[in-house]
Amino acid sequence: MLPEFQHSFASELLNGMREERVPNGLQVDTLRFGVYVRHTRVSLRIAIEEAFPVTKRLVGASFFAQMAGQFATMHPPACGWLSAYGEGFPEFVAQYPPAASLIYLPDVARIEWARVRAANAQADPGLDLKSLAALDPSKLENLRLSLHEAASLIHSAFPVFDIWQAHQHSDDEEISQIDLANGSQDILVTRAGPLEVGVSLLHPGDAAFLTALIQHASFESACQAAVLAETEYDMGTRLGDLVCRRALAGFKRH
Amino acid sequence: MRMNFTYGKKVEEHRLYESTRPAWLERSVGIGLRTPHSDRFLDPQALPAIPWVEALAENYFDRGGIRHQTLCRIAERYPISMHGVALSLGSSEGIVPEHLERLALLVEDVKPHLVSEHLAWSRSGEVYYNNLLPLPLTDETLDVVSANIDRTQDFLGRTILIENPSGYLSLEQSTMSEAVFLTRLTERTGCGLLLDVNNLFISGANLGISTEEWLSIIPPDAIGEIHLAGHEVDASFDRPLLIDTHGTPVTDEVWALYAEVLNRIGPRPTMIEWDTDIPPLEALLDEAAKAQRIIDHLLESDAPSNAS
Repeated sequence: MLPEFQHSFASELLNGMREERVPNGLQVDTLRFGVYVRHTRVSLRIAIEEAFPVTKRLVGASFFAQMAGQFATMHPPACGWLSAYGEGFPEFVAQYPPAASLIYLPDVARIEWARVRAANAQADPGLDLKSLAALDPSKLENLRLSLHEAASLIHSAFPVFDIWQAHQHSDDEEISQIDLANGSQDILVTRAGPLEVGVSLLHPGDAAFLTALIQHASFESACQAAVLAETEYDMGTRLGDLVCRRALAGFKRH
Repeated sequence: MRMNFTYGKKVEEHRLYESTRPAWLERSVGIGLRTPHSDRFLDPQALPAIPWVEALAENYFDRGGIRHQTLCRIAERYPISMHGVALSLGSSEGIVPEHLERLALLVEDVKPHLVSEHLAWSRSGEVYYNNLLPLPLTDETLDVVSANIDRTQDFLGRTILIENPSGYLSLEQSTMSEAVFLTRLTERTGCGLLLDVNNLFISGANLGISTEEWLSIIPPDAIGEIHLAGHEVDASFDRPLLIDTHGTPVTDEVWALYAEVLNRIGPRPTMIEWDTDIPPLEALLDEAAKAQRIIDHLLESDAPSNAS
């Protein structure tokens, strides 16, 4: 009987309805059953709120509660550790009709999810300058680099890095000065250190370089993509800079 | 260990929870480690004066992640108690192997003094509900929970403590009281109990459980840790319902019940839990000091009998 009881009890915990309803066949007090329904919904909503604090501030607490509540009902977590819960939230925000006027909102959520990913990833330093310097220049054309597993690249048609950064210290004046017409930004999110996540802006050349790597391009063609995006692209300095930000994976040992 | 033969029924082996707690832990009060306070435990110049902390296991399941790395550093200076909230020991579907594997790795990494979980279920099918859900207390449920605890203890290679739930619903299917159920659980699996005094008080008020009777049934030696936390009153019900919010100071009634428990069973490692509207660390330390005074007072007044 326990399997039937649990199946029945669980069936009304996230039914998406405003009113709490006791499952058929369960002889319990509706109001008291509602305690479990409310706690389930609230705790899942809080899990999303904690992962997306800037998204929440941009839309306000009650709007966010509605949006996160609907997400939790439609996409409840599958496992008991919630560090991976919320991965689908940025896409949900992008498809959420009431938020459609905030065109930059999904990209802010993407930055926030990239931060969660980086924070929970292994603290692996990735590619280091020494092994980069030790490379045989004649073999560079065959070299293949890849993005660090903890790193994410976010391309936005809007200045979302400025928006995200302004909300780190709630500077209203700074926020009001952001002009959405300022154009696109490429953002890099990395595990910058053992206890640190880094969010930084990328030059167009670096963004093109990393995008090419994500598409499994060779080092050589990634460099060509970078020069195409930014004529002044200086590979030596820029590559060193990406390594310092821990954007690149270490060489796989054979 | 002794064997218990029940005529006409299968032979049930009775196991006893054996404490391996160090003596200092027995008389000391810890607090729950919460993210807003983590940095304080990393600053060698201003380490909080608390003998141990309790960590919520699932928050640290990503090995090598920032939270996990932080806990490993804190564990170098502070003894840890590991408290799981999502293993779902009451699930008829069994426990999730990866959950147990991650818990085992964490236990290996921070070497906690105590490991605890709940008498509850949290998942059904492919969904995890992030909530401690109630169980009908029947022989069938006893079989399910015992099997899940056996599996957990075998996998971890140690005994765990099981926490009594805060009750909001009396389930008509139940055939035994919570105290009897928990007692049989300890006999079946050799697990210990984590007595959450606040939960006991809440269940007493909400479900009409007699705390006096509850305490008279539970074997004192099985209780390996005590939790204290705040609750709130939801007055939207015909009869006000107490809700286990962990967002306020411990109430006077719960302090009184705590003192009564200690009088009955002697001192136990005690922990202050605070999970919502988390105040500055000092508020938790104040609550811990209050519990410590109750333990110290008990030990002073008991001094002659302790010596015998």
